[in-house]
Amino acid sequence: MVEVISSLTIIFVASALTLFISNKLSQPAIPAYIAAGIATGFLVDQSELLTLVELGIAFLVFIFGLKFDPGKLNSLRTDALITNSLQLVLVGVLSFSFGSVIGLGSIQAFYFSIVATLSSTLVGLELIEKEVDKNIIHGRLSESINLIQDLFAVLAVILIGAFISNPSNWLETLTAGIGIIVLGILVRGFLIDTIAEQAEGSRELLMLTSLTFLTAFIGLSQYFELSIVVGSFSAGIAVAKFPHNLEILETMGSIKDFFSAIFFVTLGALVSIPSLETILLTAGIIFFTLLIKPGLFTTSLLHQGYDSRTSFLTSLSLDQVSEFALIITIQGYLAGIIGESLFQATVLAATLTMITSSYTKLYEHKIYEKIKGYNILDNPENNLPKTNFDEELEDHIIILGYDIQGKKISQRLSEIDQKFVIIENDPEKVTESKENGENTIYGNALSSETWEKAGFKDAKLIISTAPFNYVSERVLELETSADKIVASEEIEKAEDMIKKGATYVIVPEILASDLITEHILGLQNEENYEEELRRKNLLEVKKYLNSDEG
Amino acid sequence: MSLEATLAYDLALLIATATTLGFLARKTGQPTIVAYIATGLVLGPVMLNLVGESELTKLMSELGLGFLLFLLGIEMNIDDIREILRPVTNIAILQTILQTSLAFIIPLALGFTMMETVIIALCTVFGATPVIVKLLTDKDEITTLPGKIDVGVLILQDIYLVIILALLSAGNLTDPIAVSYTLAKIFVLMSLVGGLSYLSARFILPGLFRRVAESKHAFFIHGVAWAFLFISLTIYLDLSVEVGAFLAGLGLGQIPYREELKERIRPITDFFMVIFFSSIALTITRSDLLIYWKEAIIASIILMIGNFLIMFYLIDRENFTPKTSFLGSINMTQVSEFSLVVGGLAVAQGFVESEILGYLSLMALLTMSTSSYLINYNQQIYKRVEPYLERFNSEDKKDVQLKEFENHAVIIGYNNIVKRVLPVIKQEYSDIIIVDRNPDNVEKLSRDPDLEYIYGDFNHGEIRKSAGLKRAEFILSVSSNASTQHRILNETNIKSTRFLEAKRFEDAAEFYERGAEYVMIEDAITAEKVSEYLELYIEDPGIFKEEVENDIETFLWGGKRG
Repeated sequence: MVEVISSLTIIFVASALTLFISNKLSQPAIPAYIAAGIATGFLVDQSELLTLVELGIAFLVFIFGLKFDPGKLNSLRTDALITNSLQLVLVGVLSFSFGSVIGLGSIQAFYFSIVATLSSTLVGLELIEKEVDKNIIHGRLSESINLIQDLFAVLAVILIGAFISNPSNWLETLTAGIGIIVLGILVRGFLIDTIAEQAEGSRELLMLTSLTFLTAFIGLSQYFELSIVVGSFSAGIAVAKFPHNLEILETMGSIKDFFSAIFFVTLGALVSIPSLETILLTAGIIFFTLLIKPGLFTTSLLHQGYDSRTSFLTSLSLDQVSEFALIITIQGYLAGIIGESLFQATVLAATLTMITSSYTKLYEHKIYEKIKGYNILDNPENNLPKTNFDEELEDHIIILGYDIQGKKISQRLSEIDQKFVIIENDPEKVTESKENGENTIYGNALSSETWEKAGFKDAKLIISTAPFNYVSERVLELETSADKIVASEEIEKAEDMIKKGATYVIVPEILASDLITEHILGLQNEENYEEELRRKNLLEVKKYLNSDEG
Repeated sequence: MSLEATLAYDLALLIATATTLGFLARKTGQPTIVAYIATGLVLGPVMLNLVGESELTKLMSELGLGFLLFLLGIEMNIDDIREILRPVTNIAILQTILQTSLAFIIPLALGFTMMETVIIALCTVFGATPVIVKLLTDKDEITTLPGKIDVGVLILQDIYLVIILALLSAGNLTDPIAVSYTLAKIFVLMSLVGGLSYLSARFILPGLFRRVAESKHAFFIHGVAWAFLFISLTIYLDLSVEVGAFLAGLGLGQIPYREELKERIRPITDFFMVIFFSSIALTITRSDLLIYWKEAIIASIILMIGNFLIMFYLIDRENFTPKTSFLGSINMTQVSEFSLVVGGLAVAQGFVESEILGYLSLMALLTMSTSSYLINYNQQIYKRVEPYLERFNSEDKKDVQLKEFENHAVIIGYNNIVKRVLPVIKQEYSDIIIVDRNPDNVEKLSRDPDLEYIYGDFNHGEIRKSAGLKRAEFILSVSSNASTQHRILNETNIKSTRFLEAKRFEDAAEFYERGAEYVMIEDAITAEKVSEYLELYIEDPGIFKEEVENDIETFLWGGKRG
């Protein structure tokens, strides 16, 4: 036990150091852990740690299951879901063929295709957090694709269990795998609320309950000779009912951090000096991850009707290897199913692509502009911008974005009979706007054709409510006598924008704080202010929700 | 690769049983510790013999203890301890002497041999740190005065324990030179470790943690790495892991982010501690346990009463109030699981037979379980006994008072909106507490004389208690986390005015349903105001210009208002 504690000390101290560096460079944590492992591999005896590694996998996948929200899949149309799933399968098939061609043999080629197809949930989703938050279309797309991939990953694990680890019993294993997931869903639907109520808010008991389900489901998977991944994921789904899932996420989150650190560092520790084979395989994986996968997805999304920027940005966010791939390959390696080269190649490729993906994210717009320059992104079928009106407009207002603000503004403008046109690049919002009878242009704010169609030279005012700097700058660059109102989240940028010719800048925090200050004073100085405030605003909220459903 | 089948099932069984018994315990109002101890009894050799101890459970138990003491160290403020250091040292030393004497007389009277008595006396003098710390922390009493006194005594006892262990392992209890040598070594090493912790606390840690505090990941790992460093160091030096971890935590206790760190380390500590308590009974056999059962029961009763009286007398002697003396003593009535450790060593070295270990185990189990109830209900018991304790009260006795807030404003989260709204809040409310977890704001907020600043995550119970949420008049929460808002609504009522931020309209509707007075949805507020401005722009451009002048001024000043 003393040796284990020394190993753990080395692991955590090394991680602390690498995390310190990666933090400074704004890099994700996982590569830092792996790097710590690579650096200290010779000091640590991996065999002692394998039990803890299994725990790391268990908790990591448990958290995936916990965060898996099937509701989010509804944010996309069904056909989009199906197409993107098929797209994943296509990448899988291509990489499988590639693997076979370079001589990996079908089993290893299957693992290779898993590695090349799946993208990282931990790193990937973190990168697009802001876009998801603001409900930007490419954020939603990335998120949904990620969710689909989680499912594929678990499915892949079941398939491996059924056909590779234990082929004689494949039907039983397959059924068991699906059955365990179904069990998880059933528990989530029927059992978990009752149990959570019994816990009466005790964090300790909620944690224990989660742990019990985790170990129970894992035990079940092992009984059927499936990987613990199946059990952990199902346990996560089982326990994830709101509002308990937030509590549990916090508690188990810390536990997961502890064990997953051990997991990733040990992964790194298992990497030795790469052989030529390893290097070539790494290159192959990177080739697929950085080029083929994003490329295929971009094409597919263009064909589905999304504009080129959306298609490109979505695909770019997928450009890293998934931690699921790491989990699946280490299990394969330790079980003797795949060779050392493929395993090490996965670890190396994962580390590298996770690091590069944070850079591609940072420079995503510049990269897009570059690629666009080569004219390979245009899709003749997809001739944006599309409008639903014919008239030439004059003295009108151009509204950029049919979000909550856009909607409210258009309502108000209609009430006072002011002519306006809406520019929007999210197909769902475009549909909504057209259904409401508004003049709509389905186009991208960064393309000049869109602005031409909108008649920007003859407009009275252009108003952009999206707080993304690159959009505001584009608006301010337009050569027109129209007034321009843009949005910015930061006051510091607002000054810039005024200087660049903005008539006004919407800074949400200023507007919000003004209003709140008003209310606080009202509370103190007027009787019944509180009740009025509540009543009026509650009404507004209800109105909005009803109109949304209507 | 697959986990050893037995290992997975053992752990699963342990956890499942602990959970079930834990639920039962909670339903029947009993402390969960008893449930966990019972788990070990039920699953271990005493009853069903389904589970035995394993490397994994031993590791988790050891780490659990380490982290527990680490947390304790973070909790304690050096200043807090400095205040009571002198009285606590007096109490600890005298308590050891008096309790050892008591512990000496009982076995002798019950018929054990001299050697057995010596060992038993050495073993049963310790209070059970895990039990006391866990229960008091759960009840939020760990930083009260009785709590601090108990912790101080426990820490000193832990040092004493190290000495005993070292002496026993040296195998030589009689040669004075060997004994002095061991003692000297221990003191030197302890001081080294303590000094290391202190120095790093002064020079390295604050800067280090400030730089990583914004990444939850990095922050947590740094804290854990720090704990492990000290744990390894003390293992290497043959000192107590617990004291090392405590000193490590103490060093961290000075940085402003300690609340955050505590709350991140707590879940894993809780997890390991469940394993710890559950595995206590896994190594005891039924025969060993029951061989001296009559003696054990008698000894436990006498010991518990005796311990209580001794502590009460000693604390009272230091001029603390009767309430402090009572609470401080009722927490310390049990025999520690360390008795098993010391006993085990004594058996291994051939000083006594293994039946003595069984006797000690039974005493530990009985006293730990009983005292859990006593600690859990200590406040209620005190209320009952209060009138009888009046005789101990006198003019010179006083305790330290804790500051409590009422009718104040509580602000959760600090962003630019809060910054702009703060002046008017300061104007309207005399006491303001801000709870925020962004390390960038620490400097500015801790220097503001007009408010109390707490760094930490509002989702954690202790933080909410310190903010006095229930008694606040106005609550403003700009937290983007819906569960935070729900918690606020859960723990307050319409007597407070609650302004909560929401991201989605569905959340807003829920908050209103649960009684929120005002929900701020940034998008909606912005939309409202922008539409108003637009209407003005179209209908009366002159007024529009005036209205926005003010805001534009603000932009040009870079956001600073006069």
